[in-house]
Amino acid sequence: MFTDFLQNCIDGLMIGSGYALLALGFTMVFGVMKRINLSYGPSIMLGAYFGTWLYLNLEQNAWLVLLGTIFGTVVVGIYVERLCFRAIKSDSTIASMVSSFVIWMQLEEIAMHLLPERTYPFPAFFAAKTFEFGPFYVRSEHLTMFILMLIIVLILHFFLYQTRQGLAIRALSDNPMASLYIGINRSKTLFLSFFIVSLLGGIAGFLILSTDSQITPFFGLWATFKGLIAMMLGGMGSLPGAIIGGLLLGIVEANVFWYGDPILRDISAYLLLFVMLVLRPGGIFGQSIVLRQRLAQERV
Amino acid sequence: MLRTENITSFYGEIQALHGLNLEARKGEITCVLGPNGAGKTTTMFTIAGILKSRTGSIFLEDEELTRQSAQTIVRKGIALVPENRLIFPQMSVEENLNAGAFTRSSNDPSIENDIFKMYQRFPPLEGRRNQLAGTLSGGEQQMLAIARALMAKPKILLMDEPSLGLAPLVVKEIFYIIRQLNEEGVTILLVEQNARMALKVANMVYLLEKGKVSFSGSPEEIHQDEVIKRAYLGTEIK
Repeated sequence: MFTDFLQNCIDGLMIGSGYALLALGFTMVFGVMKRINLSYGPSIMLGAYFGTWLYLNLEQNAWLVLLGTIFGTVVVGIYVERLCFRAIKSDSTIASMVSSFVIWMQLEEIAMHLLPERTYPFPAFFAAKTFEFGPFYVRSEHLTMFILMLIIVLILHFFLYQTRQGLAIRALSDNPMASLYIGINRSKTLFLSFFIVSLLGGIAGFLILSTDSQITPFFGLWATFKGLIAMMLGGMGSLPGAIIGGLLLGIVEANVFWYGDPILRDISAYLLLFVMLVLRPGGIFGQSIVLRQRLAQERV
Repeated sequence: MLRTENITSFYGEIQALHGLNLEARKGEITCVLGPNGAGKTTTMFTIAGILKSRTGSIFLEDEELTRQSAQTIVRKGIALVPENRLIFPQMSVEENLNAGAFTRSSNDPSIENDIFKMYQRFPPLEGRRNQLAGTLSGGEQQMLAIARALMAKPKILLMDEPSLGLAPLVVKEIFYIIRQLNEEGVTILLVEQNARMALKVANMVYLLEKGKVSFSGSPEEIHQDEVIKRAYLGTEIK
């Protein structure tokens, strides 16, 4: 009984690391621009379709698919940035959100109508294998995803806190006006953060789809929902929040799936979000950000 | 050192500056005084490249900077201490200083040394180097804003109302710092509402009215002019 629970938690951590990667992308865009990019999931989906197209038509190599997925996601990401974020210069966050919704629909239609078969196979790095650790089982693709998630988080943290460009991104997110005064190029920095977010999305998409071994047009919707929920659980704009939120979501879903009903799995995610928003509106880590911002604003 | 010739700036269709000429000489404190809405902050924004002038030109040491981007202007040696300080509240004091040196080459070894110098000049900041800047007091935030601007190694420092919202004692301290900086050779262009304090430190004063210079001269000349004195300093109680 207890072994079951632990096994569920392990599964949840593995699946949750995918949610965490998605949430990182949402939270970075929100942190820097105070905007929500609804078309993030669909742009990853199109990137992944490009990756699997290479797989089917060029060479059956998982690395090629990874690079193709990243490349495709970055290209679509730039398209989204130009249309939804760059073009809307004013502080109209709602306009950005609505236009990113429109692009979402557009990308989804492209996938639905232009691709002859909508479901394609998606490769993984290794042939599916199951590792045994005592009484527990872990799938190789899941373990890959989890370990890579940790590595990516470390790299991202190093980039944001140890490099000049990372400083620029954080400065812009903290006080856009002041970052202008110290000579930070706003549009260049925004572009850079969007580029990184797309890169991250490409990797996340590849890892998640590897565990599913197939891609369908529903992936865009799925990725946007899971990423947004995980971000809001952890706290909008918080990087550790995105990771904790993603893992928590994974663990809760896995347990509901096991003890309850498979249908309840998705509902449990919304229920969890509901409870969180009632008890702690800022999310796990976001609450302190909200309070800190309020304190800072009072004193400035 | 810094010269503006006939600059006109607009907010949309509203004209805020109507052909402004002023000059800040090297090693001096030049002060711009004026009532609310006279265009003081607009002048600062235009010089710093945040607003673009439609006509005229801006020169820094005979190099034209008109309509350059804000980043280029910081690089060329003009740093702004903005109104209301505008520090990075969720970054530590040290990160704020580091960010101030953004336009300098990232592997410049003297940055570390300059941060150390800032701590010597502003001792309260050193004790709070790892504290979030948003938790500093108003006076400390103003010091941080000045230090951050100095980190860019500017040729001229623009200061937009550094006394705003500070307690009288702290205002005194800030003006003491301004004078000290100037004695060390920093050229300063100062915008103020606190005419009394500003006149004490200024070498040259410009009075702004409705986006135009209505008077320019030394502080002594202002003290001699009864009308201006009454308008800006109020009548003295006898």
